[in-house]
Amino acid sequence: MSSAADPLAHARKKPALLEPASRHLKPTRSSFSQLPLELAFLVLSYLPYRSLAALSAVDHYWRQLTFQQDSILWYRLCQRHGFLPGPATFPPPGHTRPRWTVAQALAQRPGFTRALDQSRQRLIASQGTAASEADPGSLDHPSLDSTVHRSALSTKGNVESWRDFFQASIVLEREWLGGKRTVKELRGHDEAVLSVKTLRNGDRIDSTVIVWRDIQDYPYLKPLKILDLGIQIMCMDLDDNLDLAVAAVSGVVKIISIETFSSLGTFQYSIPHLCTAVALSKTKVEVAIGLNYYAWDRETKAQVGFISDAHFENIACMKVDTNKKLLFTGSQDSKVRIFSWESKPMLLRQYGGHRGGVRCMTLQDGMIITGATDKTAMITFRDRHEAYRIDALSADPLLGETDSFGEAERVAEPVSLSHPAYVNAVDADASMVVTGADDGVVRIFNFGSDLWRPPAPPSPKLCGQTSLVSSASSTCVLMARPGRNKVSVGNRRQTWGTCALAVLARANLMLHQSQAQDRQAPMQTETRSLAWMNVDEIYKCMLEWELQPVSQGSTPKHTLNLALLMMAKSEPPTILLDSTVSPHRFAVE
Amino acid sequence: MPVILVSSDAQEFKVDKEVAERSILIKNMLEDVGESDSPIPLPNVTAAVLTKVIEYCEHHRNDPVQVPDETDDPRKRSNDIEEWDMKFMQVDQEMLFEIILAANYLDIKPLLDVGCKTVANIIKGKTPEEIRKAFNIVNDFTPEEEAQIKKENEWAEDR
Repeated sequence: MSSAADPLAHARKKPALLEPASRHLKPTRSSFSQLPLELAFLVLSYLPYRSLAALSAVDHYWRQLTFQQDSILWYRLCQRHGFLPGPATFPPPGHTRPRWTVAQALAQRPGFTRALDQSRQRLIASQGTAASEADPGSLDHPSLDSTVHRSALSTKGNVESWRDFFQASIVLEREWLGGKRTVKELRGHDEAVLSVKTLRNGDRIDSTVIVWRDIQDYPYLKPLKILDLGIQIMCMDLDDNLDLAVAAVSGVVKIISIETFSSLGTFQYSIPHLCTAVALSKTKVEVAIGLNYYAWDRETKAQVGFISDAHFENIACMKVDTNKKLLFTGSQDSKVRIFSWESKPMLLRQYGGHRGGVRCMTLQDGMIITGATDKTAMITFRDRHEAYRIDALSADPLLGETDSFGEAERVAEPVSLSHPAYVNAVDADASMVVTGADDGVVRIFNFGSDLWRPPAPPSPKLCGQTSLVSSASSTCVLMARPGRNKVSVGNRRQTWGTCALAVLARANLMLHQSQAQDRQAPMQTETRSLAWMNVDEIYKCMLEWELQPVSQGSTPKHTLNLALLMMAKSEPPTILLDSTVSPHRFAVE
Repeated sequence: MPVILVSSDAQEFKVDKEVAERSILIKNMLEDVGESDSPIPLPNVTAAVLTKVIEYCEHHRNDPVQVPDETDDPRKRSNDIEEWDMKFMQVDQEMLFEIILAANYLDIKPLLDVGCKTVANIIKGKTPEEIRKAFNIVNDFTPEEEAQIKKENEWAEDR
């Protein structure tokens, strides 16, 4: 063991010493781009989407790689983010065969498809001439291989790959989270709207809203059939098979098939009591009677669940997520509670936020949308993987632990949609919320109008502060000028402002270098000081370091000051302005 | 009973059988050959890399053998590297990739995972330019292509 173990012990201490030898032996093999494909994909499957996108902009090789294995890499991300039908899952790294095709996944999300179509039309309308100009131009470049051409989705608007699917999904999610919406009002009712429903049909938008005021009284739709159930109706719910559950004032629940209008069963609570909410799923009928919750099995009619005092006040609405096995209740006590959907329901979580009683609720992907007597509809975002964790019992579901693929996830604030009157009804699909209110107006809040964003004019921002520092001597600056949409590269179109920035950046660098030299071991905790300079000092340095714009305009001092002020206003985090002294001083961060 | 491993540059390493069998390749090889004193040649692994790999196997010699599970594991993310493994992986890039290649060749799944996660962690949170710098990659896009790609990736950038 002794002789063989010697290099081992040696290497433990200083592995770096061995490094030149290995370089000598294998000069090319061990760089990132030389990894065998299967290993490269393994690495990529650990990456979040931002990094995959960044990698696709590194060089041709990596771009090709991130696109080539679309069905592995981006499909995985869709799974992770819960963009596919069913709960979010955590596939193991490596090969996973997609269960769906892109088209199938799209078909599962009708509202999403509609939003995509609308957005594409807007994009085409907005681009018009721009697209037709760009197309032949890009074809002229022989160096653009097919992978570069692929997926220029922002100019095409078709969902063809999982990457496209992921992109559209995440943009839509962002619109939801940011509460970015367009509102459309449908007027016509002269009394309160009590119920709204969107159809799971992606083709039409305006006709997707059906208004139900009462089962026996359709004001705008010709009733297909009027059913006299002989009970005073309190609330209703539809399941996926279009079976209708109607709960009555007297504690009776009747289930009717909408297609055949035949009765599928009657359930009765032992004591006649007001049913305040009802939920129907494939296996269970659930009702809320006052503060309590009861569940019956649809087949055996046996009671399969009970919660006593589920809320502090009457339960007004109820929803069941059968995929994730969760029960949601909304109550007049203004709270939404989540219970596990099983025979002994357990309280998992409570959401507040409303200042009035919750009247209606709907679930959409990871969102709970509620309408209340405080004249708002509220969109509450549930943790994307919460339901998964509840299933797996791998973490306490009441703790807001975030799992987002190693990226810090923003905890989304609820989005509030205000109304002039009580909100009586809500429904939602993948891209919109429809509400019915006491003022007789049906409102459509559309969140998906901007999925394929037309190329926005570049916002005034400084590109590459660091490259500016490093290349200050050759005055190579890439920057978008505030207020204009032109990007100037190189030193031909330098402005006084960019030169001044280069001076400031360089001064900062020199300051830090000198500080580092002063103290051999600079303390980590110390805050970095900045090189503050006024316009005179900057100009002096400009002359000294030969950092000037080619075209010398009017009095430099005046131009300089103005340019810097403008930039400081448009770029407050990077360019700092100290206006307490005269003349003003500037610094860069 | 120790096993003798021979690196590509003909260095011999004497390791415990238990340690060597962390490598599925060696494990299978030993099972095929049976009890034998003859050294096992590893023509794809240099002594420097083999030293590191053995160090890893020594440390993890008592770990339960990882069952390849198809079940979803929420803990499987790239930031869940053990502390010791993280320190172990603090090597220069060349060595890092050599270790990954060796782990793949020797079929040491946990080491391969740790290696890939380490590379993924290097890439994470970096801009394309920073990735190029980190891995010495030359930007072979034309300015037009770069602009087009930048536009195409806009959705992934804004928060």
